[in-house]
Amino acid sequence: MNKLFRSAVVASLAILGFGCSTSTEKKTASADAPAVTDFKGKTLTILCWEGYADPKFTKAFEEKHGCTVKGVYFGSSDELIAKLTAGGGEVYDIVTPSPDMAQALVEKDLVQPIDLTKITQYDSLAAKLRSMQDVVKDGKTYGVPFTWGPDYLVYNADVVKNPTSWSVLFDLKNKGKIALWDDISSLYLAGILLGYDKPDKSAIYNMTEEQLAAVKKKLMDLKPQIKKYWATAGELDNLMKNKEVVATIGWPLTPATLQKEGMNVKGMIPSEGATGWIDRLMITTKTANKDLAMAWIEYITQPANIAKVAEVTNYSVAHDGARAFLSPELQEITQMNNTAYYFEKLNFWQYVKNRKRYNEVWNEIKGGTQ
Amino acid sequence: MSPKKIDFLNILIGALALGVMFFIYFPMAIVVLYSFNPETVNAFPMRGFSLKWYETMAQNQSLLNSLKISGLIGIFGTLMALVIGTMGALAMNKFNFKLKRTFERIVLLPITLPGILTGVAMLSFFPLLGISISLKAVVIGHTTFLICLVVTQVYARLKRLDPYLEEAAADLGSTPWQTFWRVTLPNIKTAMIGSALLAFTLSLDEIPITFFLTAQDNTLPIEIYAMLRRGITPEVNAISTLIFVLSLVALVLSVKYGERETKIV
Amino acid sequence: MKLKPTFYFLFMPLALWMLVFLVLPYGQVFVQSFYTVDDFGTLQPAFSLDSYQRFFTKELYYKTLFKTFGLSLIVTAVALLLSVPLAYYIAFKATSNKTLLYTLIILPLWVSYIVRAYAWKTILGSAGILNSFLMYVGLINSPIEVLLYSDLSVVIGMVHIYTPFVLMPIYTAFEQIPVSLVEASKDLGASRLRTFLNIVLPLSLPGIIAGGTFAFVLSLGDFLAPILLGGSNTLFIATIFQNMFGTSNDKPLGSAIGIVLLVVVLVVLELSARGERKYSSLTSR
Repeated sequence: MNKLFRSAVVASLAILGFGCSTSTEKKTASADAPAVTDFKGKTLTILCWEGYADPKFTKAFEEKHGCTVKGVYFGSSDELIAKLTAGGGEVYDIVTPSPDMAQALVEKDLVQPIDLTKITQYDSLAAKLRSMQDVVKDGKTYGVPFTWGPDYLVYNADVVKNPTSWSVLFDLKNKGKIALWDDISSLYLAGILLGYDKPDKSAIYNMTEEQLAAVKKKLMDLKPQIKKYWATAGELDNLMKNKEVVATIGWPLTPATLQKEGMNVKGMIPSEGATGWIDRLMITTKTANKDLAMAWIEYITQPANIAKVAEVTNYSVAHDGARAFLSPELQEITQMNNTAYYFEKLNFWQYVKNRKRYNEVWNEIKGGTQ
Repeated sequence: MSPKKIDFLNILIGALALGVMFFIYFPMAIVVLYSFNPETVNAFPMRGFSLKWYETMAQNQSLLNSLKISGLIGIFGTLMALVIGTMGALAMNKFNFKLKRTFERIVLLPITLPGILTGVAMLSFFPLLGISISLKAVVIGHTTFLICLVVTQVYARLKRLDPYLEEAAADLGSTPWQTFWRVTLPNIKTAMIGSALLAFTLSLDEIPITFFLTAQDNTLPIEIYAMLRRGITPEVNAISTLIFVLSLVALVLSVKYGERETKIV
Repeated sequence: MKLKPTFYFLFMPLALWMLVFLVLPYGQVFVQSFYTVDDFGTLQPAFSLDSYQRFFTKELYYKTLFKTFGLSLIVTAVALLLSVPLAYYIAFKATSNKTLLYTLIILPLWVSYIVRAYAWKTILGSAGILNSFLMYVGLINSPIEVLLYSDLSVVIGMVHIYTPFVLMPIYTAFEQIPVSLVEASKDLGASRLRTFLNIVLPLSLPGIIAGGTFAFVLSLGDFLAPILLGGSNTLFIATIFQNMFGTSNDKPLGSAIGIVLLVVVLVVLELSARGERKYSSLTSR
């Protein structure tokens, strides 16, 4: 038996060593690979928020290059990290983080610098978005601005009439008909409702223990109102479509999707304010398809193409030239006609240093425990 | 005791049994029925009859792709489990070794422990072996729990075989290989077929391990799960009906070939 | 004892496979449960009992474990209550079509888990089939809201999914009881209830224990039913466990929860194996 065990250990170590050596080999090989322009048969995998890999704009790219574009969706920034770091593989080529994660991805070397000279439209992208320094390290830029938008009040306008404030979530009339996003951003929302965003906007991303306790109480008070904490936009669409839920925090994607289904679902920024996000296109460090990833960024930042992203998601897109391809209604919905105003109004996400604690508080709220 | 009362008891038991049957089958009947629903929202009464969700399903490339992936994983996993498991069962039947009882229990672990634990354990360790999360990892994960199905069933069959059968074959001058080929294999063949069918079906339905080990390629149940989370998709009814019919076929085959005392799980 | 090369040839693939792909992964979870983690979720090798301490001191974790225990017990009890009459009917009452009935009770085991969970979603929703049916026939005026996205719907779904697992062993146990024994009891004047309680039930206990264990362990480890059917108050220990790896990025704590869950399951399995042995030895005596 002893012998048996020893040989088993030796064999497993051999596999271990073998596995490691092949994976490092692969990595160096991809780094030294000469630039190829033929992407036939390759697959570009995009780890992104829902809506960022829609056939409406991936098809043309696939046909042009003979490749496949595959979107893997994450439902929260934490899920992004879990997916990106799980299994240690070269699975994803492009990732589209929001500002609560973007900086961390750069710091942790999970993404690589982008040669901006190769992105022809880069200088035409919104200057405000380009000037943000959170994705710049040692003078190199790691992210290309893509879309931005609010986490605002999404409501069924047939049931909830002309809301102006987040207080509709607490309205007893809507008891059991409210949803919240299953994400620590719910803590930001409670922070805003408690006024912790004044005078310093960024304070809700760095709340003290006392503030977190108050936030927790606020969200526990809201709990009897809530039917479900949704984890993905698709799940929220389902909840609203089946009339399980009449009001929630959400993104413009949801009214966009449901209006196409003939539902009277709308979104608005309540008087207390709302948080917002800016999503960037980034290239993962471990990608084996860097050239294909660059080709995608080049393609999707073209005004005509990025306009299609706006069409699908109803988000504001980073290229003002997209307006030429959007109907006036869509410009209104996406806030593309008034970007400066909305840009001022939103409290954009920042990296939460104490993310672990935020997550724990959020889990405690979900569990209804101390 | 009056005969009248007995009748009453019988009726009560019959009614309870019928009620439980109804509880078990009602949801599946609903799924099959509403796969023909022309509308998006599943409500009562159903307005009309339509095959449109079957058409939607037939055009859903990622769904069809996931079906293909599931089939391939099922076939690979089952074949590997069949080879490794049968060899192991033969060894365990023929030889005695220290820690045999312990080993028997370890082999059973992947089916007795919650799949979520096994899935996370594999997710945590496979990258250290250089196996990143991928379909390769999924095949290995599936093979691991399918092996124990094969081992337990083939081992059970071997135990019931007459040990003198092989000795007799040897006495009559056949080589061990001939003995295996002509005596042992024919006797365990049905157990192997039965366990392979069971293994394939379980692989098709496996969620927790796959959930953690797959990256961008989804198996069928994971794709359905993703669809449920992703949006409004009554075509899930259609694909479910299809799975239901396929399961029925697999079951009939396995009852035909399998061990009567086969325990699932 | 000397083992032949044939043995190594036959046994090695299995032994190695199980070691590398099963035992070592579980070992990794154990080791990892003592690690620490930085704010970003990266594992830091260490020997720290912090995760276990958090598990046993934070209500969130140990209370959820207790709650999961309670709900799993409810699922098990209901599944047993449903299984016994049906198994009894098929084993003792059904005269014709026994094979058909037997096939009917194992068929659900072959139907996709995800499909069964989804079916309850369609049935129980606000605008779902049950509510719209009740409103259609005029029994209620507005939909019953608590049906879906609550602990209730999770329990209903789990009972439905796991009942066939309970039915199988109970039916097998009933089948093995000699009819003559039951007849003898009746001939001696025992009522049907007494015959059931004194003869049938004790003899089928191993099957009942096996079935109950299936349902209990499967419910303990289920994380999908709570996600799909649960509401804002639903939190199962398996959901938290999955969360630690899927979103919260606290692998050491997740691993510690996994180890606790593993120990609980192993204890339950051991107790159940002992119970089964005890009662099956009773019957063979």
